[in-house]
Amino acid sequence: MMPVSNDKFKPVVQDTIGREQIVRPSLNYWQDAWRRLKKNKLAMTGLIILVFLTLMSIFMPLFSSHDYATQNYDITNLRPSAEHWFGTDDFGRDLWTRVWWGTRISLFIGVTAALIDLVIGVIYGGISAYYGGRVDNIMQRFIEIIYAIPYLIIAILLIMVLGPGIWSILLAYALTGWVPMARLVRGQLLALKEQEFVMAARTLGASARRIIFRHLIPNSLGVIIVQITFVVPSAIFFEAFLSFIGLGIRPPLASLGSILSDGASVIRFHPHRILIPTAVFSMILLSFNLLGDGLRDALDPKMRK
Amino acid sequence: MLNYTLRRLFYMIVTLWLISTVVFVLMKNLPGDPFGEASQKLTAENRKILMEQYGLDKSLPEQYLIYMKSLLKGDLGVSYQFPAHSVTDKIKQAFPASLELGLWAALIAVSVGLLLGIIASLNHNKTPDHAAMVTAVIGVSIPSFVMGPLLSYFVGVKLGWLPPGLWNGPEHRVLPAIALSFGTLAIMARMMRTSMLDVLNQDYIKTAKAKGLSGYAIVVKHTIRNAILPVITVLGPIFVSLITGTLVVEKIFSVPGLGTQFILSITSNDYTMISGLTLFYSSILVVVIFLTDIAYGFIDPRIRLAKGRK
Repeated sequence: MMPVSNDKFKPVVQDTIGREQIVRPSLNYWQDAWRRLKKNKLAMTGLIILVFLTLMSIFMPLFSSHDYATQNYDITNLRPSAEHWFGTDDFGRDLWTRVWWGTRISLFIGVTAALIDLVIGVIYGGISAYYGGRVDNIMQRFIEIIYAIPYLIIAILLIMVLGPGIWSILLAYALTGWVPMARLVRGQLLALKEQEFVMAARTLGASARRIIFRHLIPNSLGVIIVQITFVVPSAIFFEAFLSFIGLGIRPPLASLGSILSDGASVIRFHPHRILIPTAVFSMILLSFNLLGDGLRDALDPKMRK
Repeated sequence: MLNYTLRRLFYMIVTLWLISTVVFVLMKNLPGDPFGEASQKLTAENRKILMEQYGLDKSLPEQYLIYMKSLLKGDLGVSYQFPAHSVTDKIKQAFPASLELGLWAALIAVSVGLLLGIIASLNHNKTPDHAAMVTAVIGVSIPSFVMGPLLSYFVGVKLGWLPPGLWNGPEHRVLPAIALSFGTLAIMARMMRTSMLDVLNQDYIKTAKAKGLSGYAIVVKHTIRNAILPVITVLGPIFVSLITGTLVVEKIFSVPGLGTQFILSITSNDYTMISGLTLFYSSILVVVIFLTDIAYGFIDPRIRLAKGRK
């Protein structure tokens, strides 16, 4: 047997550091969620439609050569044309401008209602979950009692007292809409409170404040955001419903709900007056629902695989 | 179970009391004169007689007690606009049409919704699933007060297949019921699909397959039976949306129901009518939610045990 010379061998340099090296950049929770959201075609469609509609509602009324209130009895109920892209209504007002104004108001109501919801819900749910015990018990019994109140019906009476308008609608929604959010936040915080990382933080001497704001709230943010994407369309629906039965925005200002309501009464003769606002209105709700579904899949840790 | 039922019953009564108190407070704060426009012409004496007749001269706590007493007797007062009718009479006269409409819509929503959900879950991530879910999302996005006019126009006027309004024969029931059911149908379908998928992943379904049960037996006896449980929880909210939906759908299709009456009294500022109908609608909803909660407690012991322990 031929002897093998030693110089034919070379020691393998063990690159222990290199082997442990992480090649790809680590993703935090939000980057990870965004990556998953981007893969969801339906949700991205929703997001794009939503951005598009928001931009339209902000800029179109600014650049339109008509305003939402000017009446002109020579041109009532025109079909869509080069001059009036969506036609005109029975006062000769330009529907293109009115529809985008309406979108703006509907979106404003939806987003503001969601913010109010968020503030009340997080505070109520947070206090309830954090203090626990007797406080939690009383607060939860209270929720259980008002949870069954049919808010849409009570809101009708409330708005009759306050007088119709954006702020009464927002107030009516705020008084009644925060319950699901409060329940959600409480449930979320209660579950998180018992988890190991909170115990670890407590063991390391973190203050209650730090635990709440650095650990509990950020960790429930995903679920809260998902809830918000469902609150916005329900507030928009709430406003449109009230406008439809004649308790919404006061004319000449219009929301999508009041335009729909006006259009519904003349559908047999001037279908464009309801078809166009219907399309815009449904697109808003559709995009929020698609985005909400996508966000839930992307943000909800339970859905993670 | 008895404990749980009594507890829920207690909450229901408190809720009802709270609602009627809120309605009382709101009624006392409504703008305008309780006797309408014509009251400007009343002399001071006439006004005093009227105030006495309606008990408005008494102190607020006294009025509140009288109001509560008459509520307990089922007396909702007399319409200010049509003094010949009591609110209870109006409800008796108009409610049957609303109830019928609501029941038809519930029937459509539950049967079609469940079916769509089942089909979607059995074809998970295939074309029927996507089709059903797109239908469901669209259903959620088009509210009944938009669906109504569209159906009435396209099916009723353009195609002329069905009458676009009114409430005479059975053919008048179809379009309003479909318009009303659309949104709830979508919720049912989504709920059922999620619940079915959940159950299909359970070990006992695998066991059933391993035992060699037929696909039909697995789906009908094991999956649907278990999957339908959580769906019952949304029945309460679904009734809420159906009942509030009747308000607008009735107006669109000129159904002579309670919703039409409600909107009419809103536009004519008929305050007693509005408060009476508000109380009536709220009580129905509160009772329905109570009943679904109890039903769910009966069917799924986990619920009442989990809630009862606290």
